[in-house]
Amino acid sequence: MFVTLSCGDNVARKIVLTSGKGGVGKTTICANLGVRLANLGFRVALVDVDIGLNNLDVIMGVENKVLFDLSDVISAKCRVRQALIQDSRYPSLYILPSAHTSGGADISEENVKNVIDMLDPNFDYILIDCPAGVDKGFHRAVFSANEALVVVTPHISSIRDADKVLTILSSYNLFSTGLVVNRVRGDLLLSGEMISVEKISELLGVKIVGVIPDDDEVSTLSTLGAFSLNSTGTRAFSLLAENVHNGTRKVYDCTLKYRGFMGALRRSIKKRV
Amino acid sequence: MFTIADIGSKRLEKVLVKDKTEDPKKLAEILKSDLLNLLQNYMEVKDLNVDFEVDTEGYFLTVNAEAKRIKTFGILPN
Repeated sequence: MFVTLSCGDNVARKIVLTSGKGGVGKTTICANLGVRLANLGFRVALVDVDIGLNNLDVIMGVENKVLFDLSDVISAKCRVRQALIQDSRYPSLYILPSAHTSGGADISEENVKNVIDMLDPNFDYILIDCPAGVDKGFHRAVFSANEALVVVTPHISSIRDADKVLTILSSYNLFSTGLVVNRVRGDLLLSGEMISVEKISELLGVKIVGVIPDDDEVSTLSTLGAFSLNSTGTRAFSLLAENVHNGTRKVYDCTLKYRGFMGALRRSIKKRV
Repeated sequence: MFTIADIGSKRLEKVLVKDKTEDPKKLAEILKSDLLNLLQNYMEVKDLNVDFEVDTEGYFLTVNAEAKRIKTFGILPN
C-alpha cells in the first residue's frame, strides 16, 4: 500500500538546487533526490526553472509526455495540473517541465512564485532546478524557495562559483542552506589529489548535506532516464534524501571501496587506465 | 610534504579572499561617509581615513580620525 506522509503544517518545503557553475550535476541531483523522497512516501514536485536549457524532463525520462510547460501555466494557456507529469514509477512524484522555446525574458520572479504557490498545498517537497549563472534566471529560481542546496564539485572553479552564489543567497531570507558535493573520487581523496569534502565545507562555511561519488552507474542511469534504488553507486542519494528530510549529517564515504587490499588494487587499476 | 589537495586548498583560499576584497572597498566608502556624519556631531573632523582589510583570519576595519576641536572639550591650546 502506498502511504502519503504529511510534512509539518501541510506546507511544502521549497528547496532550490543551485550552483553557479554549469555542469556540476544540479539536474541529476534534483531528479535523484526527488525519486528518493517520493520513495519515502512524500508528495514531490520537481520544477524545472532552467528556461530555454531545460533538461529535467529528459533526465526523468518523461520528455515524450510533455504537453504543457511552465510558461504555458504562466501565460494561462493551461492549468498547473495539466502541465504536471506524473512519474509512472513513483506515483507521488510529479514533474513540471520548463519551456524549451522561450528565452524566458518575459517570465518574472513573481510569475514563477505564483506557480510554486499553486503547487504548495498539494506537495510535501517542491524541488526547484535552477539554471547555471547568477543572472535573472538564478534569481527567478531562488525567489520562490525557502531553502537552498548548493551543488559543488571538488574542483577550484566550482567551489569559487559556489562561494559567489552563497554570498548572493545570503541576501535572500532562506531558512537553511546546505552543500551537496558531487563527483567525489575516493581514489583521489586517498592519494591527496582532490580537495576533501570537509575542506570544501570549511572554505565555504556551509554544512554538508550530501556527498555523491563520481560513479559510472549514476551517469549510465541518467543517460537511460532510469533510477536504481538499491545499487551501491546510488546509495549516496538515499543518504542525501535522509539528511534533507531528517536534518541528519550522514555522509557517504567515497573512499570505502578504495580501502584495504582490494581497494588498493582498484586504485592502481584506475590510475593505470 | 604538501599534497596536490593542500596546494589546491591554499590557492582556493587566496582566490576566495581576493574575490571578497573588492566589495569591502566599496563598503569602506559608504562607512566613511556615515562615520563622518556621526563624528561631526561631536567634533570638527579635519581628516578621516577608513581602511578595510580582508585576509583568511577575518575582516579588519581601521578608522583614523583627526579633529581640530571636540565639541565637549573645546579647542586644544597651541
